[in-house]
Amino acid sequence: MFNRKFVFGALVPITAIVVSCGGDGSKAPPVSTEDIKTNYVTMAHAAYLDSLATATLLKGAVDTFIATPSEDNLDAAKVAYKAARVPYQQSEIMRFDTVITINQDLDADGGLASVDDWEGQVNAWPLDENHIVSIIEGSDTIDQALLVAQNGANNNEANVATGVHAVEFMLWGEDANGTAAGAGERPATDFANGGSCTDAFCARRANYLEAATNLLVSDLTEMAAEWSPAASTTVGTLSNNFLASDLALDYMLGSITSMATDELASARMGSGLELGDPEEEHDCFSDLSHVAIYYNFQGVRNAFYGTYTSDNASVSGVSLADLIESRDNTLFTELDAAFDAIEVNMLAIFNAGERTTDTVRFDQIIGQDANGTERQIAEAAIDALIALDGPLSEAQELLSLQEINVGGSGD
Amino acid sequence: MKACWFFCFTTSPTLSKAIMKTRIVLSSAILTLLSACGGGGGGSSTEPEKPAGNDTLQIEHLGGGDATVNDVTVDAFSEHSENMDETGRIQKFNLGNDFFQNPWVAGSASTSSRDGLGGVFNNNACQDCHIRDGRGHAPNISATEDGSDFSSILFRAARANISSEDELLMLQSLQANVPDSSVGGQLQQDSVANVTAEASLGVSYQTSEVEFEDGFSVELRKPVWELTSNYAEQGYDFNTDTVFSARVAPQMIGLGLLALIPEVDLLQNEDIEDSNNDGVSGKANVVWSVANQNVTIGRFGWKAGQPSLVEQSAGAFVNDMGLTNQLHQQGNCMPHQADCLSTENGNGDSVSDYDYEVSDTILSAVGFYSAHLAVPARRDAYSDQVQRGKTLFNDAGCTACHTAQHTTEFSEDHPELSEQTIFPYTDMLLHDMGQSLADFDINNTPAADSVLVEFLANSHEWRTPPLWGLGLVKTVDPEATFLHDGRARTIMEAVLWHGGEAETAKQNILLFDANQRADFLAFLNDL
Repeated sequence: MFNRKFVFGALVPITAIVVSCGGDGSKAPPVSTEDIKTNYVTMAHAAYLDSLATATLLKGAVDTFIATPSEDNLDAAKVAYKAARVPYQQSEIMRFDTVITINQDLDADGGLASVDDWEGQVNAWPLDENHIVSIIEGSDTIDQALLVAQNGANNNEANVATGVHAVEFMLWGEDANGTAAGAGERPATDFANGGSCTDAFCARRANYLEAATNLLVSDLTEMAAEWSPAASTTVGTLSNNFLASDLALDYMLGSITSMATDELASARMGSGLELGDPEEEHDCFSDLSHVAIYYNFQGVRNAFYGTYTSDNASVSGVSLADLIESRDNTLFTELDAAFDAIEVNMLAIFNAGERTTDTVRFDQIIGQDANGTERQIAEAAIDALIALDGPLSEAQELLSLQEINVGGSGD
Repeated sequence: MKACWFFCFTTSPTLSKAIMKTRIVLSSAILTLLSACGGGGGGSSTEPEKPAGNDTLQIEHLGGGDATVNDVTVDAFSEHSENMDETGRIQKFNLGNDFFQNPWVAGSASTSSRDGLGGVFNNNACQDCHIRDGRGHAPNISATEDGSDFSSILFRAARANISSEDELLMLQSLQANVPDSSVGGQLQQDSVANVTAEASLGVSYQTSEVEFEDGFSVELRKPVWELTSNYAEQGYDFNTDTVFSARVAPQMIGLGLLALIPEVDLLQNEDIEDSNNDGVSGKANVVWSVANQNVTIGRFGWKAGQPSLVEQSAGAFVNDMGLTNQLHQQGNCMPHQADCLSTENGNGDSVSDYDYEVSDTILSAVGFYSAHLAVPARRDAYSDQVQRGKTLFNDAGCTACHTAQHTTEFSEDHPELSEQTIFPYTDMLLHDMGQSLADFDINNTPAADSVLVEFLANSHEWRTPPLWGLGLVKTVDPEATFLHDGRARTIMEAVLWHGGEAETAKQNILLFDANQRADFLAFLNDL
């Protein structure tokens, strides 16, 4: 059984070499690894700059809301939050902590020392909102330092006090609708000022939201600096580290595989659908998981195709896709078609969540039975994401890339 | 703070499962051609030579049969069966991985599928003991380790002076043992907020030297455990006759294959009274199946106390993590632990009511995951040195218990694992390993071999652990240690601790010269 596979697998790239190298002199020049790496750094910087810019807009909206806690201003802050999810979720493909980032003296430049530590402060999940409520209803002075100190309090890893999902909880509140339509419905009066607060905690809620949002901006500022043009020539930055690594392409392909076949297919989509538990959707307060997963997938595509596009940036350059295409057009075509097919289904999930009539959000999909239209689309997307493992493994072989452990320290 | 307590990216079990498909037959000439053609493809990797693809007789490098994966990285124990290609099954494996890897949290959390940890527990995630699906370790003492790391080892507690009725129930496999009346059958050294942990744990090591015939000596370390009941002052100290059994988390690979070794094949190797006078007996543990409510052969755990992977998982959920489940709806708090008893449970999830904390879907997925973690292929199975080492292993008598080969039975539910020729190097039977490795009392005095501690297994008996993956244990986690209590820092130390039924084999090994030792270890490290 195995022996047959060996021979079959080996024939594909060899045949492709004969065609692309020996047979056709008009092909484009060889794809340069250095160009791929340089373009990746440009993409990463653009995605983090956008993440910072949108978080800064969110901070502005939050400040306005806290000053004047009206429903309109709360809605404006929610809109700003949603906009901030778009670039951040695309940036997540760049945050895998691996052998190329761990123990690499990342604090040599005084910047962030650990990708995982940084990420834990920005995007920790699962989050138990009861902990945030207890901090607000407590008596400690609420500031950024307290929130950082309260992460993981009482040896409980769901005690998450900072980051995107903490801000999300402060803006939406708990979603009491289960798998039925509707997100959290926190009233603006939770932040009332001028003596009209209905309980004793409005000012502390405002302090909390402000501190969490400011910390998010400060964390993203730090990360954007790690990928700036200046950083690329500074030892100890992620960008310099990436450019200097012999395993950069190995890292990129490993990240693509892990995000697509494992993270998205499993923890971020599959677990909720299989368990039927809406608390398994990652953006459970705002019901914006459809945005989160769609842009996670865009991050996968960005890393593969070497592109990143937003209102502020348009990055396009030499990519892993180009390299694979130059070596094995058949394999490239297979991957390209697979990404296109997944995109159709991911976009359908996104659109179901965005349309104004018959809106279906991801927690409602979790509640659908096996015949549900959107559930079938989501299941098809998951199947196709898992199936990417085959051609991505072939690409790894084709390019002689090493296996990179993307699982962090495993602790 | 742990490095990965947050939005942990799970290990990628699927990342490299297809590597072996091609790399083996790519000659260096072809690799050069690839490189010259494409202009460089990043880091290149060099794989050791594998046997020629047309040599169908050489299959023993594929320890797990067609389910074997080719992975020599830190993820070597984290891949699913190579021949699992149905996405629905991969999805189930991934769901199991999610709940095996990510932490469980205290009850009444909004993350309702993942809550109910404790009151008392040993660790909050399966993967934090079975590190990267590999082994745990005894607390290490070194320049950086102070011997306080009990995160991947636990202690069972069973009484020695029991009534004849209780002993009969154990011999009939109707009852595992009689637990300590103060702490129960297992010491939980951790707890959720506002709950007192059950026990405090410490260790020191006594070192000694073992000498080979040629004068080469190896240092061994013997643990001296310091176990304290945190309820002693309230009148709940350990019973004076309690026997403790130290258990390091074992590796997770190939377990579904071991589950499918036909029972008749295991029983055929039994020789309880050593009727062939080779000094090696071999006894199957026979245990109570909670799931099936019947008596059946035990396969899993250091004393083969569990009959199946789902029951092993269910037992670990309740005992190690304090998570009730369909098979164990009673938590692990003792009647006098009022704080533990008053913690909020994590029953049900946000949409379903069930009277325990781990949903049936999750338990089933974790069992499925445990069954399908793949065995990595051997790297150099047919080299002269490894073959010489294998001969030494056989000739010394190791295979009397570490049986090389089995064939799994047909299983409709486990197509990837069904009817496979496997090389686990275990007979799955209990053997007396001698007094040095025996379970012990509060003063670290070995218990008598007449003391039953887990169904039919006495205090001196251990189930032969499989040896596949042995050479990658330290790759997966450099901190990992060997033997049931993790006292062995190296494979050779583990070998030299063997006593009891393995004493003769060990004495044979102590005759090895330097070259033979190197060959012997080359074989073990290739597994």
